[in-house]
Amino acid sequence: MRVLLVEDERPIADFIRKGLSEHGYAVDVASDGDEAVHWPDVAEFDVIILDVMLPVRDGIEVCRTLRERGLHTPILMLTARDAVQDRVRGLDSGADDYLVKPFAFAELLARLQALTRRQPAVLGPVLGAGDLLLDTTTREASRQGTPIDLTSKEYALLEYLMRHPNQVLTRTMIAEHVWNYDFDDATNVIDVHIRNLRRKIDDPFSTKLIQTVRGAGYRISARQSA
Amino acid sequence: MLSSLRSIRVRLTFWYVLLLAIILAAFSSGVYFTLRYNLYSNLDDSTETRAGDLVAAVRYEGADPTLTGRLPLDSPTQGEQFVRLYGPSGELTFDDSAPAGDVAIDRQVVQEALTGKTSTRTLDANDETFRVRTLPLERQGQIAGALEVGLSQGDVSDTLRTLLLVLAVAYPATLVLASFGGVFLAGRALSPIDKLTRLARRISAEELGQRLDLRLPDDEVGRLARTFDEMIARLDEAFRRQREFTADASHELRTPLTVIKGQTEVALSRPRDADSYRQVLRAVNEEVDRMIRLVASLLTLARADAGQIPLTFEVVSLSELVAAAVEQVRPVVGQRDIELHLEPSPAVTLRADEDLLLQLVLNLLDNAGKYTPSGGRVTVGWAVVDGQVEVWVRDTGVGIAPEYLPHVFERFYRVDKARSRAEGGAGLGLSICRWIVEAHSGSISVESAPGNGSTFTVRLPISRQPSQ
Repeated sequence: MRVLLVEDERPIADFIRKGLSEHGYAVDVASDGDEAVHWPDVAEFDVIILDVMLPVRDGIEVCRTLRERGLHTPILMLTARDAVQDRVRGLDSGADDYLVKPFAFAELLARLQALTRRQPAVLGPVLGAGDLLLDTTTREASRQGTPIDLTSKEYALLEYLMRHPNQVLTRTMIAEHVWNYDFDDATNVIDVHIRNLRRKIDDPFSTKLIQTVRGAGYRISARQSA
Repeated sequence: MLSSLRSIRVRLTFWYVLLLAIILAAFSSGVYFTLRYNLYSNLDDSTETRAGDLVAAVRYEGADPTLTGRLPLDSPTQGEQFVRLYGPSGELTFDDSAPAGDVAIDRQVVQEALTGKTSTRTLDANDETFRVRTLPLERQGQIAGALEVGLSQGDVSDTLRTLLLVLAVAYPATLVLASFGGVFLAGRALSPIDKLTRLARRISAEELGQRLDLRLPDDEVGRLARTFDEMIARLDEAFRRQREFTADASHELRTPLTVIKGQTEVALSRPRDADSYRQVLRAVNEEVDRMIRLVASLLTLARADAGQIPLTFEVVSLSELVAAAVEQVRPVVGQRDIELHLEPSPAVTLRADEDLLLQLVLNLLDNAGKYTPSGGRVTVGWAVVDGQVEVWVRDTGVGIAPEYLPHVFERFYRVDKARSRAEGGAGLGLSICRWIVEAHSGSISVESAPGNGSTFTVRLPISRQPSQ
C-alpha cells in the first residue's frame, strides 16, 4: 500500500510516517499544497492523507483540484477544526473521510483500511458471518437456524459490522455510521449495545463472532483471532 | 386590537385627533360666540335706530301720542316688528302688534319708561322672540308718554341655529376624516420601520452577512436603518474574529496534542530500544513546552481582555530595563551568531509596569532574533520625540511583505507559518506586545521591506514628574 501524506507539521508527519511504515505502508510526504498537487502526477497512491491547514494552498483546494483532474484515489482529511461546517466543507470538496486531530493511531489505521479495501463483491440481501445470517430484506437474524430477536439499534449495529466482515471498526466509525452523527463520548453507548448484541448472538454459542480489538474497536469475523 | 393599541401608528393618530378635537372645539365656540355677540349687538343697534326714527315720526292727538301710517322698514330682512305708544298715564294709544300676534304688555316697563328710563329686553310671544326697546317720549321737556318698538330676533336665531347645525355636522366629520388621514400618514411615515423590523428579524447570528440595505432618504428612519447596518457590520466582524480566534486556538492546541498522542502511541505499539524512547520523550517534551507557552500566552490575552491583569505603575529607568533585557536575550541569539547591539540612548524614566515593559522588550528582541538569519544583527535603542519616548528594535532579518504588515499584531497571525512553527511561535507574541503598549497609553508600529529587515517602534508617554 502506498500512501501520500500531505502534512506541513513536521512532528506529525514524522510519527504518521513511522507508524504507517511499521504497518507495511510505503509513505511519501508532501509538506505544502503545491507539492500535494504534483505528487499524484509522478506516482500512483492507494490513499492520500491530506491535512486541511497547509501553506501555499489549503487541503480543501488541493482536494478539489485533484478531484477536478479526475483522480479517484481515496482521500482522508486530517484537521484540527471540528466544527460541523468544516467537516461539510471537507467532504464537499471530494474527500472520502474526515479525521479530527488529535486522533488515536488505531483510528487512522482502521480508516485507512476501510478506504483502501478493494471494493467488495456486491453483497446479496442475506449477509453472513460464519453460521450467523442476517436477512436485510426482512431484517431477521438467525444463527444455526435459530431466529434471533434484535432491537432496531442492535440490527443497525450488526448490519454495519456484517457489511464489513473481518475489518476493524472503531467506535467513532460505528457512531458515525449507525448513529449518523458523532455525539460526545459515544464509546459507552456503543459498548452497551455491543454487549447486548453479544448476549444474543454469541453467548449461546461456542464460536464468538464479535471480537474486541484492543485500543481500536470491534470486528465481526468467523476466524478466531490469535 | 390590543396589539394595534401598542402600535405607534394608532397612538400617534389618537393624540393627533385628540389635539385636533380640542383646537376645533375652541375655534368653533369662538366663531359661534363672536358671531352671536355681534348679531345681537347689531339687532340692538337696529332697534335703537328704529326707535329713534319712530320717535321723530310721533304725532300727538291732544295728549295722546300716535303714528299716522306705517313707517317703512330700513330693510325688508329686518323681520317682524311692532310699535306701541302709551299716553302720559300709561294707556295704550297706538298698537300695530296685531300682525305679530298678541304681545303681552309689561306694565312695569311702561311705568319705568314714563319715569324717563330707557330699557331693552327680550320677549317671547307666539313662537317669536322679539328684542324690545321701551323709551320715554318727550314733548317740550316733559314726558308725554312711552314708545315701545319690537324687532324680531328670528333672523339672528336662525343664523345661529344654522351655524350650530353646520358645526355639529362638520366637527365629527372633520375628526373622522382626520383620523383616517392620521392613520394613513402615520402609516406612511412608519412603514420603513415595519420593513426594518421584518428584515432585522431575519438577520440572525448565523447570517450576519446580510444587510438591510434600504435606500432610504437621509431622514430619521434612514439614519436608523444605516446605523443598524453599521451595527450589524461591527457584530459580523466581531463574530468573524471570534470564530477565527476559536478555530486558530483549537488548531494551535490540537496540533501539539496530536503530536504527543501520535508519537507515544506509535512508540508504544511495539518494543523499542532506549534510544527510540528517548527520542520520543524529547519530541513530546518539546510539544509540551510549546503547549505551556501557548496556554500562558492565551491566558495572558484572556485576562488582559477581561481586564484582570492589574498594572502596577512605578518609575522605571528605561536604560536599566533594556540593558537587562538585552543581557537576557544575548546568550540565546548569540548561539545563532546574531549580534545584539544596544545603541547609546538618553536616560529616560517612565511610569510603567516594570514586568510588563520588560516582557514587551523581551518579546520584541526575541521576535527579531527569530526572524534574523545567522550572522545578522539586532539593534535596540530609543529617542525622545515630541514628549514621547520611541523605543525601536531593528533587525536585518527576512522582513515582512507590505500586504502582511497590517496584520502582524493580530492574534495567531503568522507571516510564515512554517518558519514560525519551527521557532515554536504561535503568533501571539506581538498581540501581547500590542496589549502591553496600549495598556501604557502608547502605540506600536512596524516598518519593513522583504529582505531588508524590520523595525518595530514603540511610542510611550514620558512621565513628567519622576518623583511621583
